[in-house]
Amino acid sequence: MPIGFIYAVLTITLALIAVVVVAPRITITRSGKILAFLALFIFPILAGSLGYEQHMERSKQTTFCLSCHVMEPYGRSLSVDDPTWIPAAHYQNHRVPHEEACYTCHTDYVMYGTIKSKLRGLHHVYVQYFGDPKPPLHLYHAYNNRECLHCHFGARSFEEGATHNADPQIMADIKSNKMSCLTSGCHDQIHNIARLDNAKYWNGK
Amino acid sequence: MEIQGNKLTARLRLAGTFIFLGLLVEALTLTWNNPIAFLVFMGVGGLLIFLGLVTYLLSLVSPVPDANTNS
Repeated sequence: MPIGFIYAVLTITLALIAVVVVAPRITITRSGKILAFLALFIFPILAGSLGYEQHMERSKQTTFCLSCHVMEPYGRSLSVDDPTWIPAAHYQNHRVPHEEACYTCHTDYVMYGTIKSKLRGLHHVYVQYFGDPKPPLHLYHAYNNRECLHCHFGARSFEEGATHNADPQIMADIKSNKMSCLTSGCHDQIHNIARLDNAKYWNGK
Repeated sequence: MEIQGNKLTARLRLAGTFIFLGLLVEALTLTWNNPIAFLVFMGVGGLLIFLGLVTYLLSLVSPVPDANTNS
């Protein structure tokens, strides 16, 4: 939703409310009652819902995630000049959208996955302000291959990959999440923030 | 009836003020891309809007006293 539209709805709502607050006597008439209903019920719900949706969309943005100090090294790891670093390779090669890089890999691709990830986000915020988070951070649950397969499933590089097909069981185990993509010794260079100081960085966009 | 009218007027003004402030908070938080903005939007703006809506709805269902007994 364009932010200009949201501000327009907010402005109209505020103007209507101002009319009712300044001259509440207008509610004596039928049209005044309708105006009050619009100003004090319909439009506030509309404006509030639009604001909520906008905040939800913003919370998917990479800049939003990286606005917390503790996430700074994780953001820096996206610029490491090493194709074996999975997040960096995905970010730099536009395998994930730049604007929603964190969210794209760290949401749950299941029914209500967005709600679950938002609840986790609220927990992150709680820990940020009321806890004492220190890197390295840990996921609440082991990373599920489902999130990788959301994009890679059916892709030639994945389906015909030599290692993936070295044994029929390997592919079955990957797809059923029995063998982790990230912790089975295959794609295990993740954010790796302990090694950031010695890493070489890519300066591109 | 005048007293009741004043009460209704006061409630409408109160509801309007709550919602107005809540929406102002929303407008301010929309200029700020930060987790705190979301918390302020939900915790302060959302609460004010909710209070305003409830106050307005209560004003609608508040009993209107009989003109013979309340004049």
